[in-house]
Amino acid sequence: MTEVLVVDDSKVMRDMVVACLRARERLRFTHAASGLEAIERLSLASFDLVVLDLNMPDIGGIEVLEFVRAQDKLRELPILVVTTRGDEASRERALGAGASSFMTKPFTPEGILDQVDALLGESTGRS
Amino acid sequence: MSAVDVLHVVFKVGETDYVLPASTVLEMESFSGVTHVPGTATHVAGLVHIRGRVIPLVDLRARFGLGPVERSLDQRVVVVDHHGRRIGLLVDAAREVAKIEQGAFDRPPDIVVERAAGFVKAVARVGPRLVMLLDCERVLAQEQGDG
Amino acid sequence: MTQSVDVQEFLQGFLGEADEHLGRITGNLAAIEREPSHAHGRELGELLRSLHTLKGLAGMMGIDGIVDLAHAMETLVRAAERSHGRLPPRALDPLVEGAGAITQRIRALADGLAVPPAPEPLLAALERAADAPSEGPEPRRALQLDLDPSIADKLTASEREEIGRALEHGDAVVLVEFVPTPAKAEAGTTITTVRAGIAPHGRIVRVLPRSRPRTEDAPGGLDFALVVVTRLSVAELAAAARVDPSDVRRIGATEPVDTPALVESVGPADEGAFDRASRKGVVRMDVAKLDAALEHLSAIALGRARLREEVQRLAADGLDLRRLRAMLDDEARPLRRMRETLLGLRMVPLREVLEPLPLIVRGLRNTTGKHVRLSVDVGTAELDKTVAERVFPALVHIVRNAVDHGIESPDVRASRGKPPEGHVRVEASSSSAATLDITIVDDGGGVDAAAVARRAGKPVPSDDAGLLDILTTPGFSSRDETTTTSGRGIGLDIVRQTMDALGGALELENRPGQGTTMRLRAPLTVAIVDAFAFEAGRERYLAPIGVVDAIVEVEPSAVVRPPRGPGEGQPIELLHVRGDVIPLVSLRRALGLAPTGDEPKAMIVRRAGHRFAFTIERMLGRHEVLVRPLGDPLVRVPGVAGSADLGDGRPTLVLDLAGLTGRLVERTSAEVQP
Repeated sequence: MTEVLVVDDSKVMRDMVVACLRARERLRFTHAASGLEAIERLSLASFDLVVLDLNMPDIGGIEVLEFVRAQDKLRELPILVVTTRGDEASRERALGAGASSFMTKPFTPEGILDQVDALLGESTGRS
Repeated sequence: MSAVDVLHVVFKVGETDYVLPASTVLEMESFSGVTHVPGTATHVAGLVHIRGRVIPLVDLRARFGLGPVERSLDQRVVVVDHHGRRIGLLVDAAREVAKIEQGAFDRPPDIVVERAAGFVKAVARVGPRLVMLLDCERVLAQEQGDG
Repeated sequence: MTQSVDVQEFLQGFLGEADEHLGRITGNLAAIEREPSHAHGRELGELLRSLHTLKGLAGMMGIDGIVDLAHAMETLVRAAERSHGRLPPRALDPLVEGAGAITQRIRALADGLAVPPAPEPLLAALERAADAPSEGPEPRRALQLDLDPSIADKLTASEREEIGRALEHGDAVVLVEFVPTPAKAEAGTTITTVRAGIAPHGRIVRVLPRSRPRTEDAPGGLDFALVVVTRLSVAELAAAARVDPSDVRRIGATEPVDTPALVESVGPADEGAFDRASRKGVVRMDVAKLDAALEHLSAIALGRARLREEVQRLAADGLDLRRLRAMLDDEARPLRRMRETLLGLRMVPLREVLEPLPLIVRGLRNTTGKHVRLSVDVGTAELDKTVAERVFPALVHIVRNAVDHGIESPDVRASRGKPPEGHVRVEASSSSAATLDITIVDDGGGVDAAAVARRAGKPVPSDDAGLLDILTTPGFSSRDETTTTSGRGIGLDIVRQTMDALGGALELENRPGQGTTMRLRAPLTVAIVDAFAFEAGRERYLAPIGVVDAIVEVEPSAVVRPPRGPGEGQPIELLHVRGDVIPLVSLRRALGLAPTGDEPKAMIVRRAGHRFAFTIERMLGRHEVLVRPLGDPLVRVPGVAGSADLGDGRPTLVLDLAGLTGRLVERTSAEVQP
């Protein structure tokens, strides 16, 4: 099973991400409703992929990225960052902070599947 | 500026085809009976339960002065939004939609479709047929008296 | 979104989240509106996030109208946040309008109607406001906090300001350090529960994740530092957060004496922040589901009635069914409690319903040129959600009327010795156990009864009730051209119809030259009524048992037809019942229908000392039903209180027998001797 951590404060958004990725049977999803919860979960369990929304209260996606990349164990973890249109500045910051890839909302099921396949393919290829 | 094609719902009352802009039509359901409310106008068939809501049903045949018919599977309830009120219109059939250009509507000629003349805002051609644009304001107007 | 994922699946969830975000947006806008001279870093930040999230969600759902509005509003707020953390004064109006426009579109979506695109003029106004410079000094706080620089340095100016304000109120600054571990997670303590535990008791200014060396107990290599302002003691806060007291410590804070406080006078502590946090644990639900639950409860009650009948029959055969009877009785109480609970779930706090009102009034400032302050003082009053939904548009109309027609222009007010700002007050009080009085009081010019009468072509009314009658005549408008604010939407005639349909009332108190008071009386709940079901003319009806005195067999021998002289109208019949003589009328006839057969039974109805017997075909049992008032004018007739669902999908009419009796009494009072 491939463990995926889906991080977004909107439950509807998280459910949409999971619905889009339904086609890949080997994926198992864990939800985190805040950046803080995401960091906590990442510290206590291991994941193969993170889908991370940038726009969250208390601690935004960029801070999560910075914190995560500062941990040795999590440096190589594939992180797909999701931003909303009109927030192109964040794209630069996200990539600079260590995002593996990014996507803008609204996205299509095909769009996110492509990204996820690429990220997971890369990482398994390496090991 | 090119003309705008507006989607309309087409339905039949008696032998005539009528249309309403699709934007005012909320739902179309089959007709499975009505609860009569005593003391209402003759064309108010009563109350129907549609998708969790109880709404009034107006019998367009009665409204247009046509005699009643036997229940048929083709009958439909066309639910319209009229200034925020949800009201059902009982029609003999409703199977089609049509795109009608805004400019294609003309003033109604002196047609004799029993008393429907007062309830028609405009007419248009859809293929070989003449369709009437229903004037919901008149159809649903309250008449004084009753109860 | 395309093919394999259907957005409709997410519609309910989207509507729920959108509602929450709209609530946060209006709440924050209202907070900014209350104290426009303050810096509002926190409010702007929350506005930004809610708008941004809403935009993303609406984008996924394909609702461009909302995306465009949210984007324009977000751009404006972002520009303000970057410069001084303050909204320029002219920015608030288009933002409020934008929030209203988004709300309308959400409502359209919920009602299954098309969502219109964002209005161009509003988008342009938002864009213009984003370019305007903001005013006021930059808030600065040179606060010295006894905190590790790794934390202190990360606090933003806005956050320092927040801490400073809280300190001035006597709150304390506290640092909570939480180390997540597998053991704690198993015991149910996570960063999320810690935050939730703290939230009702203080404001969490910032949460910072920090790396730390891994240990056997804490293999995560992580801890969280929470900077909290609170009134609780260290021990109390630790208990609330379910953390060890040694993980909580109070932080000293000082403001260097030589730095002048550049922040303006502080207002009262913002309790709103505490309230919002403690609203977690609130579940959004569809009122239709509640109604369905209540109807299922009716079906259970129906089943129980049948059980009882069966028990009765068996007992008549001589079986000892006392224990069975006792079991049936025991069930009654929990069912009753369940019904009360379900009914209670339908209640919403009036204060929440009225939240958008001050913003609406603010919006009217520009279109009417009138300066009006709206205060809402409704305490903890609650009412049924369906009632609230119907009453709200009526309230909005009355408030708009007060601003538009009631409150005079500043010049006229000055000449009358009134303060330039008009005042509209909305208050609520319970007038009885079952009704709520909502009053709207304005200090405007009152209604000119003579002018109103002239315009309506009617004689000058002799009292306020008469004046209200003229004002609520359909089509009446007190201006020649409908004004842009009150002209569209509902009129006072619809307000009255709404209150009537709800079984409430509308009253007017006019004080010429000084103002007006409108009083709306609303039922607290829509009725769940214990009703008899019966058949008359092969149609099924319901009637509340409260008005029914007795149900009797109509023995032909007990019916008397007193002789009538010529020209005395319809022959009437009288029924002998236990020594009394009661007028007898076919229910069908009373409803204006023709009777269709034998009507061997009669229901005796009492109303204000008069009794009438209505003949019917047969009784069908007792039910607890949810009565839906017949809202639409097409079907509103006297004698019919509403409709209910007996579980077969067809609406069954609920009759107002008391009302019918009243009308019959009027008609026949001269003819029947008691």
